[in-house]
Amino acid sequence: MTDEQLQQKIESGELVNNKEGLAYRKIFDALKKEPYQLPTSFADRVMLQLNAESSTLFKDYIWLSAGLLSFFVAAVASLTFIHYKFSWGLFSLGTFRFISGYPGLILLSVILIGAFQWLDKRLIRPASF
Amino acid sequence: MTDDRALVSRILDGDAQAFRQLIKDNERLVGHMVARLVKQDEDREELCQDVFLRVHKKIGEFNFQSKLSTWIATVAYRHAINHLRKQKMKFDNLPDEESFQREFVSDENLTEAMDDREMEALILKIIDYLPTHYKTVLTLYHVDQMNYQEIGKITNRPEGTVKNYLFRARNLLKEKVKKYLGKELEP
Repeated sequence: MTDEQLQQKIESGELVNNKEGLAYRKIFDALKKEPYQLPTSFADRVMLQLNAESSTLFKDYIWLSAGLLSFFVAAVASLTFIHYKFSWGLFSLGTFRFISGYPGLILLSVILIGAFQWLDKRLIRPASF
Repeated sequence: MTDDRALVSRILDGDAQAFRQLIKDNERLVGHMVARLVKQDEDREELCQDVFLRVHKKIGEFNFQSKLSTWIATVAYRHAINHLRKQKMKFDNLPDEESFQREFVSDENLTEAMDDREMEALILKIIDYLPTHYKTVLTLYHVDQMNYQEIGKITNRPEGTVKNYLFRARNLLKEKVKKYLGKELEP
């Protein structure tokens, strides 16, 4: 009898009365044992962690919104303070007007920023403790 | 599969109880998978939690091509493997068959005759020394009663390979256990 056939026999519950059969019987019995049991409160702990994460995400959005609002208010206040006159053309914001002559520079900046962000995401991993 | 669809749909609708149900249904499977691969007791529960948080995050990507439990086991398997990778533990390649078998089955440190409970504890300890892929296949097949196809999906290996790993792993264990039985049967 090949070893494979012997394994099949033991698995199907047949008795094989030799040393190999006995060894397999003991192995099959041991293999049925659960290697580990999680605590009974495991599901509650995961749910708590999930809620904590949602709450953190919610706070992050609140801070982001507050930041954007502050930026907008500060921009409006500053423009009002200097009596800035709008003219609706591309790159018409005074100081930055010179950029309109360098479209390649803008394109390169966008590509570089995008590439850095991509590399950052690919290469930098969160610390594991 | 229909139940899986209903459960996933409820989870995607934000039903917390549905996700709790998913955890309850699969925590044993995830626990087995992680525990067999990760020896450090203090890491196990945290890793299992991470698996379910990941499942929650990715559940929208589940495409019902397999059972939900198979997909969750896949997430758990990959997470445990990544953990081993971070710990720089060897798991990728199976060791050279002959030298590994010789070393694994060597009769160093054989103890005296033992009773059934001691023998069972010993076998479980020996399993820890098997290559990761063998341990995974043994656990999914014997503890979680999965078939070759399901195990193949989880470990991303053909059914034939799964079958071969299972046979080889049990054969290695048998050779080792026979040594102890030899001691036990001695006068």
